[in-house]
Amino acid sequence: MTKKHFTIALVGNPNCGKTSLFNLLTGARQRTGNMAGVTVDIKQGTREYGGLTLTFVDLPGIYSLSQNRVEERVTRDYLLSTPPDFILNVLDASHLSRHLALTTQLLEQSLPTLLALNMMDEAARLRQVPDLKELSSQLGVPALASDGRNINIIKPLLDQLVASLLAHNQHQSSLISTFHALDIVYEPHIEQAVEQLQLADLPRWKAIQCLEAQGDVGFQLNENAQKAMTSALQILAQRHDETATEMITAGRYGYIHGLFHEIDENHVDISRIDSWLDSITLNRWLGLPLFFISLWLIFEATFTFGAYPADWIELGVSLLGDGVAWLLPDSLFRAVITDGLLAGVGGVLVFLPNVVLLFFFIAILEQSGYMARAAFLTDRVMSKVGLHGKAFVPLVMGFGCNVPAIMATRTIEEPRARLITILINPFMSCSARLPVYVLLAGIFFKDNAGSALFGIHMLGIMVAFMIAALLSRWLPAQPNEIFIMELPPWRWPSWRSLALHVWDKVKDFLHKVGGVILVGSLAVWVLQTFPMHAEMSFLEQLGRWMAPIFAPLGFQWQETVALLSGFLAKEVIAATLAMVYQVNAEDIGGLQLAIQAGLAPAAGLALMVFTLLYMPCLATLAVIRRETGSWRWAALSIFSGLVLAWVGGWLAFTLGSLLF
Amino acid sequence: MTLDSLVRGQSRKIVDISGSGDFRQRLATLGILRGQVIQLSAVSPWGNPKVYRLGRQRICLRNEEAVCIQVADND
Repeated sequence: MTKKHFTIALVGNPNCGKTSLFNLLTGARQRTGNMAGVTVDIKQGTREYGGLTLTFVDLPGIYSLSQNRVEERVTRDYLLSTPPDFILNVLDASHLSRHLALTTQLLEQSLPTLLALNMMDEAARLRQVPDLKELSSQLGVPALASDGRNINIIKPLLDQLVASLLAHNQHQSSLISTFHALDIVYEPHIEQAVEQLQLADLPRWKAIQCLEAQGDVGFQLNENAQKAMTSALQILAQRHDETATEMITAGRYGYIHGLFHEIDENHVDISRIDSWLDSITLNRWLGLPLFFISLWLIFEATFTFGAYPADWIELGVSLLGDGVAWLLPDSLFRAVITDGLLAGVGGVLVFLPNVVLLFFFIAILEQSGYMARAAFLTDRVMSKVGLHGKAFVPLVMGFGCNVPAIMATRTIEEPRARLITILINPFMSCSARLPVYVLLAGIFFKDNAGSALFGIHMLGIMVAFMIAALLSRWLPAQPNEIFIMELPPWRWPSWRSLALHVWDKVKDFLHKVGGVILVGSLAVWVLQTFPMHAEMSFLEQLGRWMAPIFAPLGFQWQETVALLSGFLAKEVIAATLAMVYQVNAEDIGGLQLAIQAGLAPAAGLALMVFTLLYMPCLATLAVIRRETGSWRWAALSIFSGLVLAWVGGWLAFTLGSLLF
Repeated sequence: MTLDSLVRGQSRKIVDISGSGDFRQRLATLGILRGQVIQLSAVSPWGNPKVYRLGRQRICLRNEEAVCIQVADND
């Protein structure tokens, strides 16, 4: 019986195009970020090809197997504990020597490897296309061109992969080893140390990794080996200023340069467009203003362009409502559908285009490589409030949804910096709050709604930084984690990847609409309808009972119940507003008029501020609890959010009343 | 002189790297080793961190870390 199911792990440096390739290979829908450290956990996807079932595993981007950061540990331990059948080593052809350093580590371990060289077009532009045949014969493994954006280039890659897999599998069963370990000759003292360790029964690659990782390795060492390693490292430290890591790395680079001496990358310049873009975006004086202008443009476009498709959705919903009203007799059942389902769910659905657009723009920022530049520009401010440079990605992800954003903080290793990043994340306004802003800004700030959206998001960032500053004073300081970040080259976003990403967000949104928003709307409808023929519905009774707390903010019972319902998920706020105000209104336009008639502009502003700041939704609280390991932090998050929201709302209402 | 005192556009050879083992390991895996030529290519609004160029790689370092890297006094 021959094996039909194989596992292939994708290994490569950060920004090598690994995740795009993974998406293309599996058709999986998942994020690619052009910034170090977006893949934290391991993702899998399956594809049938050439009669085989291939399971691809996307491992975090790493620079070396001999390093002990989160990403490296995940990859290193995966390769050791569940060895895949084959490794697809993804490389950036335009930065080949740096990327081949990792390859030499894989090949020293004699892991069955296939090299997939991405960015061949970029290498061609630089006139340094690597000779794949030569590379393949020198390293003894297949090397093929690859491109995460082009399916045609992938076919030969898959053919080769299947052929190699079958051959390797056959050879393994006949006990012939097809993969010989790569043998790099290091500096003489390193070689001596390696020999010493080999005498302690370690294979050569393990001996090298022991020295390179300064003893911090993923595999078990017996007492003998442990002793040999300690003494070898000691002797090396006495003989050399350079660390063993540096000497071994120098050896790897020496070997790589020997492979293709005709190409000297150090003399190849960064392309003119790249350095032009960098000279503008990283400019000391222009950089930050440009960053804020692009954010403003994003919100402006989110509001403006979102309005057109929103009109179509609105038209569809109201046609549906008319249809139902025409088909069904006036009954409680019809009321559930028109006043509950269509008013509530439809009231949120119209904001789908805005949410999708925001995700689309953020994905472009990520994939183009701009995000890493923005992180560089803002690093000083971040470190002043106790945040690590790595906090930038989770914070920006918070604009989408706080739940994955908080999980992404796992890449931050210093516990205090991580805790601060988790606790301030809910102030990064997630896309669930967007419908409320779009609705209210469209009513009260008609002429500059985009600026209002930008302003409310900026307010969230400012509050987040203030809280971070307070927390960093309050929590005991810990030694700072080193911050070294590679700026990725500028890249055109892959349209396929963007489309997948956006489609994914649409699905997420619809999922929520059909789930928590539907349930929330129905619950609100029930509370609003019963008791029947009474003076006041349950909902109004509840609202009026709570309203005195919110009266200083200018809210009435309608806003009060809307905010209460938002605890489930923030989108429900918009749904509830739509339902309580839409009792007498025919469509969204009518809804806007009804809100405008019922709510002072200053109170509208206060409602936006309150929605921004008040407690995280249920899912976010659960993830705060899980990631911090204590309910205390989740409780603090609720409490501080409510206090800040009330004070912020009151300030907004008071100041707004003076201005409007 | 140390790396953080470079002027924008200036490039120098790295002569020595000090600092914690962890830090030196991180630099080595990025290919930042003795003998390499490094250039200061961009400075953030507050003068810290800075972006350095090594061949075609661009690496962002804080000044706190850059002082650990000694570069040649002249070309």
